[in-house]
Amino acid sequence: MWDLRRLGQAYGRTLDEDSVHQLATKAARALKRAGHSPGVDLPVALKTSERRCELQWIEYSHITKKSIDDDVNVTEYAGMAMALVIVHTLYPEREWEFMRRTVRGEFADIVLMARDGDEFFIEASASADADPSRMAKKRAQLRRCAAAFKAGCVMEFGPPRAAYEEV
Amino acid sequence: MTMPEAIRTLYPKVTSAIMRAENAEARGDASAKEAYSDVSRIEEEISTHLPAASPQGAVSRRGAVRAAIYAGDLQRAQSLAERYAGEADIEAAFAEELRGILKDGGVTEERMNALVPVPRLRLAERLYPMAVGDDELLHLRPALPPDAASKSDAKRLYGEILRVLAEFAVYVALREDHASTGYAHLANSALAAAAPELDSCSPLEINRALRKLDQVYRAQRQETTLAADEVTLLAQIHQLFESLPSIFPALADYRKRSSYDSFITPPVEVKQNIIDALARAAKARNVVSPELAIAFSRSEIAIATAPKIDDLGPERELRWTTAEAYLQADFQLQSAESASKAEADRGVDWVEFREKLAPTQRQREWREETLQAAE
Repeated sequence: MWDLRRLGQAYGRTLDEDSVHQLATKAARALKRAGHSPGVDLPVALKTSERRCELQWIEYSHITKKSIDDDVNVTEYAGMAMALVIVHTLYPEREWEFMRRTVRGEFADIVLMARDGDEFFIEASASADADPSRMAKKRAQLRRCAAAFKAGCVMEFGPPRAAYEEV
Repeated sequence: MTMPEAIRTLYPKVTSAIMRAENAEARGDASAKEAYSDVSRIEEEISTHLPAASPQGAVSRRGAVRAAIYAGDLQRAQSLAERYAGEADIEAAFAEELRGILKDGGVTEERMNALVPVPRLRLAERLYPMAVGDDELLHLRPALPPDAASKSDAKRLYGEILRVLAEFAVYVALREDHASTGYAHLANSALAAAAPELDSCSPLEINRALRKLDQVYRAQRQETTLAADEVTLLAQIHQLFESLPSIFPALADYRKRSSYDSFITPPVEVKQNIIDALARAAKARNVVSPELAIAFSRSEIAIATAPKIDDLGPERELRWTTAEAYLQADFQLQSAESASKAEADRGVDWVEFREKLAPTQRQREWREETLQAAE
């Protein structure tokens, strides 16, 4: 089980409170908008296997349909939040630190650092519905990045489903 | 490998700034450009701690250039890209990549060649793009002088601080204007303006001193019409600023920590005070193109103080880097002429202003001379 509020604990040392809150809230909103409730199952397709995790979040009363509709960057930030959840689920022992979000146009959306110093560049992509070609695009995009460790994470919300691939 | 301490501090800032810019952009908020301007500056600072050859060093350099483009500051984008491309450890492919970013962002050689240098206003490097709201006052109260007893007093004092900054901004703009139009040599002429006498560091006191200084300046200017005598004034204004150790660091610190999204609209009268102060300051100094400076300053102040205000009209569209600024100033002039004859009552002769757009031509000539000399 992965509670979205744990983003702060998992990455919070180098991710300020407001950013953590935004990522977690927008992820919850994206899931709610797609009709899901806390406890929804998130299957993550890896290259040769599959992992699953159960997503939990708090359904605040102020998160109404209108507030979701009025919010911005919900899908994009929810995708990044999911990527963080997935990386932490796959490699919990590496004690990740969130380093930074990058400016639009970069090869990757976020940069993490493991305790051993490995830098990990992650390109996250999210959409309401499935798009099989997205991972191929992300793969091609990441191959242009000079970093040693990089991964693409594509996510869809309606049913929740993700694919994760290291490039 | 561990993160350098400076990076550990700067990374959360850049993440927060990027998200702020992205959210403002997605909402169509006018503050998005300013937020991207902040991103570019933080990225630039990050780049000083990381080698260009490292993946993250490259990310910060590309980020600084891209964010400058998103902020609409094409000259800064080009300047950063040129600087990064000239770094010792740069690879040819990375330099090419930076050129590609410029090209994609519309920073083409033709476009940049079409620009002329114009005065650029910076309110203390945008550290203090202030909107006066309750939230800010709450944080600033400890930094304000003790005589700011009530909220209205505090707002008024805040307005006075803005006025001082605004005068300074006008001054800097005019000085750059002189330099770019070939009047820089006038800076050598000294005007024996009396130093301001300050009993305290309160903004009101400073403002009174500035007014006094203006009077001395005006009186002496009748005998010496040299525009660049303001160099003396610059030194004095700098001195005044340095005598504000409690207020301005607090403002700067608050700015760094605060989300722009939380700002509320400043009272109309504060904006009007600033505009009036700018008009007076520029008019009193009666230099090469005071009205042009007014036009710039009004826009800058408006953009800086009221990013969320929708009633700014053409000022919202003003760009600060190019000859477009002149065109926008002219557009603003036309709008002002047609919108309100009351402008004339404030002592601005808009017809004369139009005639004094002549510095545009001088700057074009200056630029051509510079280019010819370079060839």
